Amino acid sequence: MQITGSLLRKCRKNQRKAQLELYRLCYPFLMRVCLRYKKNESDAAEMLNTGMLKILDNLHLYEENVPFEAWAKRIMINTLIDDYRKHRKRKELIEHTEPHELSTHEHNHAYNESALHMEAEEIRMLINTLPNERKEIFNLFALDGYAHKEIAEMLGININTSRWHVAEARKYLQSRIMNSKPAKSVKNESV
Amino acid sequence: MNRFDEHLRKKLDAERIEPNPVHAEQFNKLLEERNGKKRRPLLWWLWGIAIVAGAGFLVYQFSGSGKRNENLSLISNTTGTEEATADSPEETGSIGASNPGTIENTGERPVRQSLLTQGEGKDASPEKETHGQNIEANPQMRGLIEKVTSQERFHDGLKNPKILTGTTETNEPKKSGLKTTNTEISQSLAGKEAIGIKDDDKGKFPASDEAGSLRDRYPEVATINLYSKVLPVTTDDADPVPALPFITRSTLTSRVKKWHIGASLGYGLPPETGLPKKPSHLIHIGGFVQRMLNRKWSIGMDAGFAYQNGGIEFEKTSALRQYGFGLRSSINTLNLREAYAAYAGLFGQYHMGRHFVEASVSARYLYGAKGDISRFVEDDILGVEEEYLPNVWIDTEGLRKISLDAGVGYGYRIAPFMSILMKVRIPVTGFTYDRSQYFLNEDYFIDSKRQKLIPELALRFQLFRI
Repeated sequence: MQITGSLLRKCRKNQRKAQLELYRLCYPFLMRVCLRYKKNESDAAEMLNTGMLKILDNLHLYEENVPFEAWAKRIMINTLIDDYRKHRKRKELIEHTEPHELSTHEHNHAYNESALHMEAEEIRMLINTLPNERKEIFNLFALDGYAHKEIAEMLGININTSRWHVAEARKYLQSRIMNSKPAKSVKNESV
Repeated sequence: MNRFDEHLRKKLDAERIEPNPVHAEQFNKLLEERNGKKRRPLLWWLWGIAIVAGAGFLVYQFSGSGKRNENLSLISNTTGTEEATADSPEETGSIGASNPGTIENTGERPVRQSLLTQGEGKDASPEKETHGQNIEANPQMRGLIEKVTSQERFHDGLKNPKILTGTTETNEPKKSGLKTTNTEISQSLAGKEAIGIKDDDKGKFPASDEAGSLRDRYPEVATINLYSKVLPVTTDDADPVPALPFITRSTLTSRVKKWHIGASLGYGLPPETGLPKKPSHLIHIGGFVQRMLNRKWSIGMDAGFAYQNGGIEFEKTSALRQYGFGLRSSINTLNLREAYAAYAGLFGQYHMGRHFVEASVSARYLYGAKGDISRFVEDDILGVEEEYLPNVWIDTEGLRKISLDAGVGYGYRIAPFMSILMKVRIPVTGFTYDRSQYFLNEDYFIDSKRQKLIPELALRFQLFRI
């Protein structure tokens, strides 16, 4: 079943059944977003529910010429950012990573190939090993398509700080993916 | 987009996730809670209305108007026609030259003089006593005078009291003499000249000035049948029981006062913010000046101090990286908790008896704020340094200093010196910017930063009248 205009209208009228149906339909793509930003499933589910409430509250603002999925995703991401700002762990804000000389084109190509062979869950777990702020910024920039300027405004940071975090996150992930390749092969073989 | 990023995104987007029934159940509970919270403001309002209604009922019960089964007395005057009957005792008086002192073009005096003349006027007929009692000496009659005058002042909004309007408080005003009187006046004037006699309960009799002109033109215009309740007085010296306990003799004899000065105290409930949501409070205390424009309309201004605890969602984070002898990074986070403000506003009221509705606009000037500041500094040389300062006065730079709001409300005058007002404050602008430029550009607002309607309950005490 698709998210139809009539379903949304029913949701606007506060019909519980329709709201739960909308939740069911939105769950896959919104949970995917939440899982990227949160370290575990229960936190992600909590955020998903909070975000869904916001979506239902703001449903009257939704214009039908905009894809609902994109609109809902946007609200979800903003909810996650809000939550991040509230629960920012000070100690996790800054983490220094040793600079790596891994940004050549060849290296990138190698990592891309490696990434293609990784499962989504593994990639997500890797991203989750990033420090919180870096993870947020990397998610926003690399996976959700936000610009550095937007991220800087959302998180109250400098644009260059955002750029720096993305670059550092990439380096870190690429190195981890490279290192995880043999382990993955071993795992596959054992299975 | 970077190819590496693109690959990651594709991989993640390809993941298939099935709905989890446990999560769905949690969401269902959240929906229930939310719907419960949506109903809560309504419950608050219902409670407020019930309290006001209860207070009004109590005042009504103990105001003397509850003694509705008292006997009506018959008062006869010098020239009137005796029309009293056993079941509808009444007073008849005249408007005319035969009793020139009866009605004059002044505020409350006509009623008093009219009734006093019946007992002591030089033109009074030998029937100076009503049922064998001198009116002046009769405490019941004095009670009547006070009663009529006080009712008159009360009903007319302290301005332009009309003659004998107090009779609307009698047992059955529409059934008894009041209606009859109106008919008689109308009949007497039929075909002569319109004088603006109204056909409603409160405007049955011509105003004093109109009556004066009537007297000149039509010496014997009409006979007024006055039904009035005589209140019990035990001794001659005792004050008559006033119509309402708070109307005193001094109130009755003073001139109409248009300016009211008083104090106000209010309590509001700003929307809860934060996760988990914390209760928020808005308290304001101040004074007001009110000007009665006429019996229905008034305008005024109020000013005072406002304190808001919670309901302000504001968090500012700044990151600073410095390169010198090693790298020094600091993260500062500021959470605004309390706001201290001075407020001033204008309001207009429309009165319907004791009830009134109010519309207002006001501005608050933020002169102080408290919040939590946390600092985390990491220095390559000096190491890590943390600082957490809860609930400290903070620099208000970056906050909007002036916030505007509008409001509408319903009020009830519990007593002449005290009103209760239920109001909804509608913030136009808040102390914090509710939309970041980014969200504004994207035509999307982030709900948690938006201040919503603030229900408020206020008490207004009238201290002076000028």
